[in-house]
Amino acid sequence: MVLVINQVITGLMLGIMYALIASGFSLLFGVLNVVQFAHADVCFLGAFVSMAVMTFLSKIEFFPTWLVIFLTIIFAVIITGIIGTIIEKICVKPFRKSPGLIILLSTVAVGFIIREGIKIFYPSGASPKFFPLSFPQWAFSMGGITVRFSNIMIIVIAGMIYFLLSLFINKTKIGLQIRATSQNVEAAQVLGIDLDKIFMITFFLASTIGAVAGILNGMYYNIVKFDMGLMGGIIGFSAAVMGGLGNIYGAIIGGLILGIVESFTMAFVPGGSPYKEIFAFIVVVLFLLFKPSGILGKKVIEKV
Amino acid sequence: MNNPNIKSNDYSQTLYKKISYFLTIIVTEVIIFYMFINFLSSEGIDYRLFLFILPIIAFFVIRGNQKITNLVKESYSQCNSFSIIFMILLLVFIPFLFKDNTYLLHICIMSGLYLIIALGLNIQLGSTGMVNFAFAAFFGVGAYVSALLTINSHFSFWLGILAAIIISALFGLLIGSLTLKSTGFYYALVTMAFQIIFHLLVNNLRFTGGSGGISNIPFPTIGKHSFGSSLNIFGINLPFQANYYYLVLAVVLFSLYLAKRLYNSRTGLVWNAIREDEVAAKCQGINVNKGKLEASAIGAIFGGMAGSIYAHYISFISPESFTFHLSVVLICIVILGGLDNILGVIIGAVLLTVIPEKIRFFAEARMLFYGIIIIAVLIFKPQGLIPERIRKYNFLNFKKDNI
Repeated sequence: MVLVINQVITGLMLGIMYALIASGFSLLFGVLNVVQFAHADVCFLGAFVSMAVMTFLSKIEFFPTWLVIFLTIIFAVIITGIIGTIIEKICVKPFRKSPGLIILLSTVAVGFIIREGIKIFYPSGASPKFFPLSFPQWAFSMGGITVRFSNIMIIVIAGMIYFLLSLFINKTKIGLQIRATSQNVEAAQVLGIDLDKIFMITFFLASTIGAVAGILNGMYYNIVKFDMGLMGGIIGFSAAVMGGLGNIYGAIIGGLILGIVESFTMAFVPGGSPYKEIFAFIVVVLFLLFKPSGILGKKVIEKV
Repeated sequence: MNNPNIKSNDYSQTLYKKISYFLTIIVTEVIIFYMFINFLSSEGIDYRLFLFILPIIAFFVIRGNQKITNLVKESYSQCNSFSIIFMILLLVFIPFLFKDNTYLLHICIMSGLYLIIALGLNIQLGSTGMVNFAFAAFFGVGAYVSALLTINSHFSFWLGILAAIIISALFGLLIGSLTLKSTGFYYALVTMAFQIIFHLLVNNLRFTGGSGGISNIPFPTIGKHSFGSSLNIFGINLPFQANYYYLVLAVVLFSLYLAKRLYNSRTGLVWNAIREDEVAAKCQGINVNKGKLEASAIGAIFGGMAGSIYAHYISFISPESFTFHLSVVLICIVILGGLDNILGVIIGAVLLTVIPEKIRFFAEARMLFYGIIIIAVLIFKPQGLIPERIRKYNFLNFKKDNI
C-alpha cells in the first residue's frame, strides 16, 4: 500500500510534467487549429537555452547566485517564446489556408531541424549534458511514504502556471480575443481581431509554458539530451490527444494518466522499465479506439 | 489527311513518324541514363557533375520550343512499352559499368529498396491520404521475419520473403483495423505510437536479438549459385552486389507494375475518393472501411518485400535501422517526389538516396538536411517535384490514327 502511494506521488509528478507539455499542444490546437509537433522540442530547447544563458550570466562577476538563477529563467523563457514565434512565422503562416496535415508535416520537420541543430551547433551536443540547476534534496517521510521537495515544488510551480494562464485567458482583453478566436475564427476576424497578432501571442504563450516545462524536466532529471524532444513530443501529443485536443483540462488529465501508468509500470511490471512507454502507448491506443475524440474532447460527427 | 485511298504516302508518313518517335525515345533515355551515371559517379565538384547539370540547363532552354516538346510528349505516349523496355535494357547494363566500384552499386541497390517502400507509402499517403509514420516498422517487420525464419532452419530466402509479405500484410491489417475511426492527426499519432512500440519491442526482446540484432543471415540461393558469390555473365566477372542488383531490379519492376495497375483500377479510384471526401464516398456506396484496410495491407506488403531483401543483402539487422527517423525520411521522399505520382516517387527516391551520399562531409547533419528539404518543398512546391496527374478516362478506345 505504501509502495502504491509512493508510486502515485511519483506518477502525479511525472504526469504534471507531461501535462505542461501537453497543455501547449492543446492550447495551440484549440485556439489556432494547428498541431505544432515541434512543441516538445521547443520545450527542451528552453532547457538548452537556459544552460547557455546561465553560462553567460555566471561570467558576470558581481551577480549573486539567486539573481543569476532568476534572470536565467526569465531570459530563457522569453528567448524560447521568441523562438516559438519565429517558428510560427516561417512554418505555420504560409500554410494557414492549407489542410492541417501539411502543418503537421512541416512541424515534424522543424522538430528535426531543432534537434539536429542542437546536436551540431551546441558544443559536443550529442552527449547528455548535466543540467546545472536542481532542487534541494529535502524529503520528509511519514510512515514509509516519502515526499520529496522536488515533487511538491514541481506540482506547486505547475499549479501556479495554470493559475496564471487561466487568469490571463479569462480576465485580460487579449485573453478575450484568444477565446473568441478559438470559438470561431472568421467571426473573430469580422469583429476586427488581428489574426496575425493572435497567432504570435498564442505561440509565444505556449512556448513560454513549454520552456518552463523543459527547465523543470532538466531540474528533476539533472541531465538533458538533444533527443528528449522526440519521445517527449510523442508522449505529450498522446496525452493531449487522449484528453481531447483543444481542452487544457483534458491535457492535464491525459498527462496525469500517462504519468501514473508509467510509474506503475516501472514499479509493478517485472523487468518493465524499458517497456514503460509501450504500456503508455497501449493505453493511448485503447482510449482512442473507444473514444476517438479523447476524454473531454468535442464529439466530431460528420453528417451530411 | 488519313484518306484510305492514298495508301503509299500514308504508310511512309506513319513509318517516318514511328521511326522519329523511337529515335526521340532512344536519345532522351540515353541522355537521362548518362546524366544518372554521371551524377552517381561524381566525386565532389568535378566534370561529371557538370555533365549532369548541362542537360538540365538544356532542358529548361528547350522547354520553350513547342515543336520539340510536342514531339517528346507524343513519342512517349505512343510508344509507351518501347520506352519502358529500352529503359530496362539500359538499367541492366549498370553492373557492367560499375563492376569496379561496388559502392555505387550499393547506392543503386539502396535507392531501389527505398523506392519499393516509398511506393507502398505512396499508396497510403498519396492515394488514400493517410499519413502513416509506421513504415519503418513495416520495413523492420519484413526484415526480422525473413531473418528469423532463415537463420536457424533450412528455409530458403524465397520462403522468407513470402513469409515477410504475409506477416507484414497482417501487421498492416492490424494497424488499419485499429484506426478505422480515427482521422487525420489521430491516425498519424497512432502510427507514430506503433512505430515506437515496434522499435522498443525489437530492441528489448531476447527473441529478436535485442539491441545487438541478428547477424549472419544467409545469402539467397538459386540452385547452386549463392548470391554471396560473384556473378559471371558472358565471361565478365561481376561483384556479388550484382546479384542483389538484379533481384532488386526485378522486384522494383514488379512493384512499379503493381502500383500502376492498382492506380488504374477501381481500387485506386476508391482510394482517391477516400482521400478527397470520405463522407461523399460513403454516400456513393463505396465501402470505405474495406478500402482503408486494403490500402493498409497492400502498402505494408511493399515494406515487407523491401525489408526481407534488405536483411539478406546486408546480412545483419539491428533495431537501429528501423527508427522513426527512417519513417520521416520515407515521408520526405514521397512528398518531395509528388503525392500519388509514381514517376515522382522514383525521382524522389533516387534523389534523396544519392544526394546524402554525395554530401558526405555533411554526414552529421543528414536529418537536418531532410527537415529543411521538407519545409522548402512544402513552402515552394507543395505538390512535389512532379505534381499529381489528373486522371484520364478513355471512354472509347480511340486512337487518333484510325477513323
